Amino acid sequence: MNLTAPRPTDTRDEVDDAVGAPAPAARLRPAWLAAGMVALVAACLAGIALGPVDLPLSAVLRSLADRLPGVDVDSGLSARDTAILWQLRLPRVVLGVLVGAMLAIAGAGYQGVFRNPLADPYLLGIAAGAGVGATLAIAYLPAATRWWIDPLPLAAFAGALAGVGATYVLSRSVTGDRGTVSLILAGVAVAAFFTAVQTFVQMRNAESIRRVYAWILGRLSTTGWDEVLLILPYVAVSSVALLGHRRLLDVIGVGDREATALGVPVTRVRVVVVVAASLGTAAAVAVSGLIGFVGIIVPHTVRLLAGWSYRSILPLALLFGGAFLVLTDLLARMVLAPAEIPIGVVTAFIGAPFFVVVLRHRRVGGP
Amino acid sequence: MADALPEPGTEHPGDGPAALTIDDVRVTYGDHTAVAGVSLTVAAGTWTALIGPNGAGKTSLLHAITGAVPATGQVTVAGDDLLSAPPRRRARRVALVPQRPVIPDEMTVTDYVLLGRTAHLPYLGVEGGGDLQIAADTLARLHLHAFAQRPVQTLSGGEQQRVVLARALVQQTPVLLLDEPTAALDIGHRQQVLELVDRLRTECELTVLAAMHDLTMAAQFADRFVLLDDGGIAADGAPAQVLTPDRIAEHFDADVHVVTAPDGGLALIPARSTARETGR
Repeated sequence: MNLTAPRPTDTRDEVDDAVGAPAPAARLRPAWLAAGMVALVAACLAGIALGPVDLPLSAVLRSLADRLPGVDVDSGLSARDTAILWQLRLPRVVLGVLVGAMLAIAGAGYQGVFRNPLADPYLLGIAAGAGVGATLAIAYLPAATRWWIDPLPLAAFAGALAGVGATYVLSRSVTGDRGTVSLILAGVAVAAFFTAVQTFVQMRNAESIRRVYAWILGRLSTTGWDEVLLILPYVAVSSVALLGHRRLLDVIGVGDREATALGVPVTRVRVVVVVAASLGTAAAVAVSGLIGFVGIIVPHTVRLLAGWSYRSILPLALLFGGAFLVLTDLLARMVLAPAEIPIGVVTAFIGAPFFVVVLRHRRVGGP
Repeated sequence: MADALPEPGTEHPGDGPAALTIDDVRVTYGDHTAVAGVSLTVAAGTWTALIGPNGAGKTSLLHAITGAVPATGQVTVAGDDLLSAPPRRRARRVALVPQRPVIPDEMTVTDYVLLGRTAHLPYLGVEGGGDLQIAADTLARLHLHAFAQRPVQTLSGGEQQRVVLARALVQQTPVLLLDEPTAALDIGHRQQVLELVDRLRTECELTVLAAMHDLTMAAQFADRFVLLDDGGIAADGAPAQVLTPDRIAEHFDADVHVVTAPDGGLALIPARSTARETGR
């Protein structure tokens, strides 16, 4: 087809005054990108400075700058405060950023690829699988001190992958269908089965219930950088893969058949996005337990603010997701200080009412 | 199946080079056969109307060509077998205007039209200036440039149909498939959309294969009618050869008069009285 063919004369005038290419609306506005970065930095500074021991912000900044190569400044922090900063606060904030960003962008990815506004990173058996893995580790493995590395996150990670894998295999074998409904139904079945296994193991090992329960509610308490190093590669790879699919997720918004006719290998896109989001979520769950609602609250808020396109939603979910979880963790630490509320309780406390708002707000529902 | 081929010697419309060759295409959904081995050669630059009753397999055949439903057989455009080609290459050979397009909330006309550039971008790529220019030119050509930044959902039915057509045009394919392109429109907008498709067919050297329900209107635009029933071709030829009262009664279970309009075209008039007498 030749679009530069001569136009008929009767349309000439109207054509001439509109030949300039209009900018597409579907792009990330720089103002929103800046807002996301500011929110993330502000949340991180608040998360580092505030706590049972308040660290002066200027001293924190000097201490951070001191670690830069070629920079040598005196932070003025005592040895104890320096230890609090580098071994407690900073790893915890960085972990919060990674987990929050991962859960939020994974949620956005699931929502795009399933065209379902309530799709969640814990869909497809991830949460139940991680729960079984963690429960088995708590109930049957010897105490963590005897291990070179804490086996709990690894067991939860393996369980999460087993959950997703079982869901995928089940949905393919039952119907051979490429659609999304069978995948989600298989996820429900796998979750029910894994939860039953977990409950059975718990009943047989009553003394472990408390630890299992604490793990399920989610927490970001860390000592040192082990957890950060454990999930960093997964979060990085998974986020890059998801961001790369931002335009294709917009195309998939018109449905599988039309997207196929437009040239999108829909099944391949769905598999890649689900695998990336699931890997990242499994890693996040492994170190932080089940922190609910982040994957729904953040993408929907971003969608309401910055528009429908995944070109905005995915990068902004990454930034605001990190900021959101750091602030939530701050709340969890501060409200009943010195006691800590499980962070999953805080996100659910905010998230459940938000869920109702999402349901009532037609704009986010899509077709 | 082709029990009613035109008599030998009559002129077969569009004997030019083939733009689209469909060979023994079958589509099955479980136990149900929707398309049962259809073979069809469509000449370049022609307009072929796929007609037939509901469930005849028209939409399934079009979906099979675009790869949206699994099918066996061969579909060839410009030497490429589309059924074995990857989606991206297929979408550079055929574009589809769907019957009920899904138009996401809030998506603007420009963004929606740019979806049609997907097959011309790298797998994870985004549109460049050239793609934007093609979209802008196409919007101008379809008199849609004033709506470029409006959400598609806020436009009227006829305008939305032109937007969907624009999305198919920016795919820059030699073959354009239309699935009931005017089903949701009033008679005036039907005429306008079909006239537009006909104009684009000439200007852009397109080959059109369109599933059409309005047989009178189809007869005014199509060079050739292919009547599908029960997944197979029941008749194939010029509109006057395919549109006969007997055939309409047999395949559509409808009683009609086929009359010649003052301008020489064919018109179908539903005949209710006969239907009542025969107790239908």
